[in-house]
Amino acid sequence: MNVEALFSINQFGLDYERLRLEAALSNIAQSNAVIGKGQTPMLAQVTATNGDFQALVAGGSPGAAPAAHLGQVAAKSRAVHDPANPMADANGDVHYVDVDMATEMTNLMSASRAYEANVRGINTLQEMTEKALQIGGR
Amino acid sequence: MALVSDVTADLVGRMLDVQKLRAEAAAGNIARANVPGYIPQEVDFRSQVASLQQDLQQPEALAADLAEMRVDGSMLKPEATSSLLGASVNLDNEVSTLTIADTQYETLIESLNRHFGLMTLAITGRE
Repeated sequence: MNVEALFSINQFGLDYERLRLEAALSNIAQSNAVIGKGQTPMLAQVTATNGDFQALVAGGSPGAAPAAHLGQVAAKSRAVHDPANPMADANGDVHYVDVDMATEMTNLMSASRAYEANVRGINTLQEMTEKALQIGGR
Repeated sequence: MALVSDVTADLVGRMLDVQKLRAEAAAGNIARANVPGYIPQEVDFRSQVASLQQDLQQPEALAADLAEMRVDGSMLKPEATSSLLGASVNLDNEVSTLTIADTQYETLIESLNRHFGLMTLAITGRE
């Protein structure tokens, strides 16, 4: 395991948590936006590909670095009866994306805390490396 | 051919160039963070480092590799980013890249110092 690999893991952590934050914010932002006709309700979701941490830590083989992507998944919609709304359908229902606020807020907080932990990790790693350089020095 | 061929110093010097290029790329990305349509660049040196690592046991092959290696803009490639805003500069990513390049640079300088310290010791018999 080399220091570069540890830094890479921390960088991935930062990327991943920032994307989770972005996904949660995007979902909260669209929670009260009406879905137009023919549109499907979508929720932002973060996926990680090739996340083989063991390989990265053990060998740091080139190209094995995990990557995080922000994608969208189909979600349920909730209907609100509001015949006066110009976006209402034949039954007088207006459709919104069914965003679970509790889940999104939990994601928001846990992403924020994990991000802080990753920043602390990078700082500690840098301090340790600087200390290691002083071994045997004058 | 140099009078005194020192593969270690050559190798460390070339890696210093790489780390400097990394820091320059990150600094350039931060500087252009708000330019519309700018695609952030990063340094891709994994393939070069892999070929250098293969030749670590053979000083001649390593010296030839080092002589061929070009540390310049050709090592830059577009950064793979994912965001709701499309290809954009992630400041945290750039700053952490700067931190990594800085740490690596310090490590290389320290190893170079100790290498030359050993040579001084060998030449003069004192540090």
